[in-house]
Amino acid sequence: MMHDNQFDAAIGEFLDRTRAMVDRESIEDLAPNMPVDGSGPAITRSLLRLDAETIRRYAATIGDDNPLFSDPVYGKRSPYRSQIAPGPVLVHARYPAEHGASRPFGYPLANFIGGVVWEFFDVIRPGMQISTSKTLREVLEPHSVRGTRIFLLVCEVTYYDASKKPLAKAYGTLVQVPMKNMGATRAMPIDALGDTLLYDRQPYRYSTDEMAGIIAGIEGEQRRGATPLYWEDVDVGDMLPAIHQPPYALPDALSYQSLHHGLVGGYNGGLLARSFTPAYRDHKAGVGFPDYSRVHPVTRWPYTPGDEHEDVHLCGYRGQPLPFDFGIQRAQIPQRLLGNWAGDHGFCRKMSMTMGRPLFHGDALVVQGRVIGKKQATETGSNTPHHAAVVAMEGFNQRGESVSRGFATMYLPTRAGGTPVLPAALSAAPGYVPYNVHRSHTWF
Amino acid sequence: MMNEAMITDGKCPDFEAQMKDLLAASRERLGCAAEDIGRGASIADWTSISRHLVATGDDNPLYTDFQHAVESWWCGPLAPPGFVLSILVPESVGALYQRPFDAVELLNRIDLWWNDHIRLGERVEAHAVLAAVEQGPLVRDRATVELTTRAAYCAGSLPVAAATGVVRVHPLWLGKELIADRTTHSYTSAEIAQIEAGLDAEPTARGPEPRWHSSVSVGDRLPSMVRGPVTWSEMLAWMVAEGRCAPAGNLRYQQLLGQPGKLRAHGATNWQFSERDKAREDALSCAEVGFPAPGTHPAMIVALASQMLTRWIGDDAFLRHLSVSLDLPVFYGDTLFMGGRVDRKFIQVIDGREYFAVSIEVWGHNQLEQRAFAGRAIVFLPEEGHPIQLPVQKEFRS
Repeated sequence: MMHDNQFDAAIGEFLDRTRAMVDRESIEDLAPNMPVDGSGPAITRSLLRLDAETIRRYAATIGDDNPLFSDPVYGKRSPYRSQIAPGPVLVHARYPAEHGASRPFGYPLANFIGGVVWEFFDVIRPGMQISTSKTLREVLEPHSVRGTRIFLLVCEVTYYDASKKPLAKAYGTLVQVPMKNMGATRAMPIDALGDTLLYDRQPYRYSTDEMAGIIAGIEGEQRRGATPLYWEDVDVGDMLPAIHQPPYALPDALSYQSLHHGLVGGYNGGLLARSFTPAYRDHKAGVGFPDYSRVHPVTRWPYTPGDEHEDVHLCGYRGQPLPFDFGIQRAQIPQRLLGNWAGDHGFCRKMSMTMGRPLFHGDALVVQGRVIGKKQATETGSNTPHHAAVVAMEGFNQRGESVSRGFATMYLPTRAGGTPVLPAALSAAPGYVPYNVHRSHTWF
Repeated sequence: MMNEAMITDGKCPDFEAQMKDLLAASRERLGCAAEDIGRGASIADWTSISRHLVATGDDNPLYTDFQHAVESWWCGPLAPPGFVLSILVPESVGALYQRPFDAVELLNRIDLWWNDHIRLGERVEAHAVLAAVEQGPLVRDRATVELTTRAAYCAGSLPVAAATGVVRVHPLWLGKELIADRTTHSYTSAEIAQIEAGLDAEPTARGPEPRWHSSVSVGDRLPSMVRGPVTWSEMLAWMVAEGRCAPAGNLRYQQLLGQPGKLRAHGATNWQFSERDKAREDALSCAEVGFPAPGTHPAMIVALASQMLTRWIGDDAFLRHLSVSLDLPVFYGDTLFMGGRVDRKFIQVIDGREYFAVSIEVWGHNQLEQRAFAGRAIVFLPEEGHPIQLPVQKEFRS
């Protein structure tokens, strides 16, 4: 069939062009007015302004009201001698995922964040100016449990301070799912909307008991704070106090966007055209990477932008029965689990979160953690010993379904050695850690 | 903690008693800082300004192009006048959130006065007080309450603008009644073609060519401006442009405990700790709080009206005043057809300087030809040999 041929050809073209991007500096998610033809510098400045208020607001967007992140006076008394930011704030300096090749009106693939793995080398402080480099490293095609093809695009992002000293790295995995009902473009024809849904879901209705359980979880959240958790006092098998998020709703979708908007330029390098006439012009021209435009099933407006995460009328265009969360957001929330447990003296050296399934609007989240290992580690090129605890984490929705899993390496203080020495002594950013390594607990 | 007051017993609320309560409780706050209003930008940095430009679809090079702005009479990058709404929207609701009321609060009017431009990089702040609490007109045969906020805006510690906003509180049986007998509009092919034609015909902003006061005549029309159909992108971009803190759900829950009047069960999930002012934006829960479809933030409409004016007046002119009456909510899916007309020309003498003023009537109607807003503006235009001098007033007060 011509339809199938067009679809297959589009997928083949996407793969060929995306594979050709491997090891080349990305032009995605640059600040406005940066060159998007690849002629820009390899390391580019971000517009993220790390002032005290922005850090406080960022911490709030991931549900963390630890005064270490919100109170400069408290921060001054901390081991870091200043307010600091939760490490994943760096997502706002550069989005740690790469969508691959683009073309007018796009390719017939539904895109989802598969996971984000972080390596932090130092704490993030007010006043830091962040520069970044992002490179697609791997294009993988694993066997899918559903019997359909899926592609994993794995990128490496390095975050630098103003002196080009590496502060952190992120390995982001973007899942691209070929969708036959999209035909040959990113947006499926309206008559195919709803034909192929990846899940069968209705908004979850909570009983009084269920709500009371969630509230107890929120109100019972424990934070260690300024009292050190010594490595010697940690045992394998220790459980971390769980963190709870109430049912995800539209204001949660705003949380991430409230900081990210404006930091990333448009598809052609200027301001992002998100609203009204400029957006209309882009969408009509087939611009609008990565989500493009589609016919609205109610208004029938043919240049409706890709609000498939948030809009109940549009989520079906990504094969979802309900609006769903941003994986990039869910990947940040577990740092609170780790920080609450380890206290202010602990340092998150590595953290990962892999998305198992969407968290739909109306779904609650509980994230649990357990210590699965203890070790002493030294960084490459350094003899300074670090005392680490390795933590396994898992997030569940209110149905008890696992929605995300991850691991973390926490450097902890010792009674003899005191607070972990920072920055982790690195002369340069370490090399790329491949997907099959950084997804394994043995790497942590 | 579960709030027992949220449980309804199925009886029609006593609206009269509730509005009396609201009047009395809100009057206790008269003259006090309007701390219920979320604070937006504190610096006119490029990120905050560009968020405002993106949200309003404003591609006027006076604001988007630094070199263009440097070459203008103003000698450098500026924020558009509507940016004051990214610092603070004058929309205190008084004591409305202190206990459950069966009501819907809607921003009904905004008056803005500008005294100077806000320039890129300036530290900005706003001080707002609850200035009046009065009984409003009867709507649906029910007495309403009007709450007036006065706000003063400073940039670099100098006063640059002032605003008055009126929120009207409409008694409404939440969960049973809607504020409008509407659904999300489904456009015909002809309507879509009309919108496309309007968008395609939109002229570029006037730019550096001065619009001389002497070249303008009473009756002159501003180019019409089409904005919509409103999608979630536009709604979200405006929320971001308002610059308010957007905490995650666990922290919103903690905040809600201090605002029992804001609580409402989510229409789809029954989660008891949803914010009713946020529920109106959510297609899954808006009906529960009286909205037939998600509603846009009304301040966005005011920003769009100011954009229509700044596109027409050109770089060298100055938007001095804008008063907008917000007659109907603009819902998700709605399209605004906006226009304006010069209705007076005059000269104002302020602090000994002459300003060549034009009064402009502005309006916008939706795709059902219902008036969504109407208002008036005063703009100062240049005249040959008389460029505009700012600030307008040495002593500027709201």
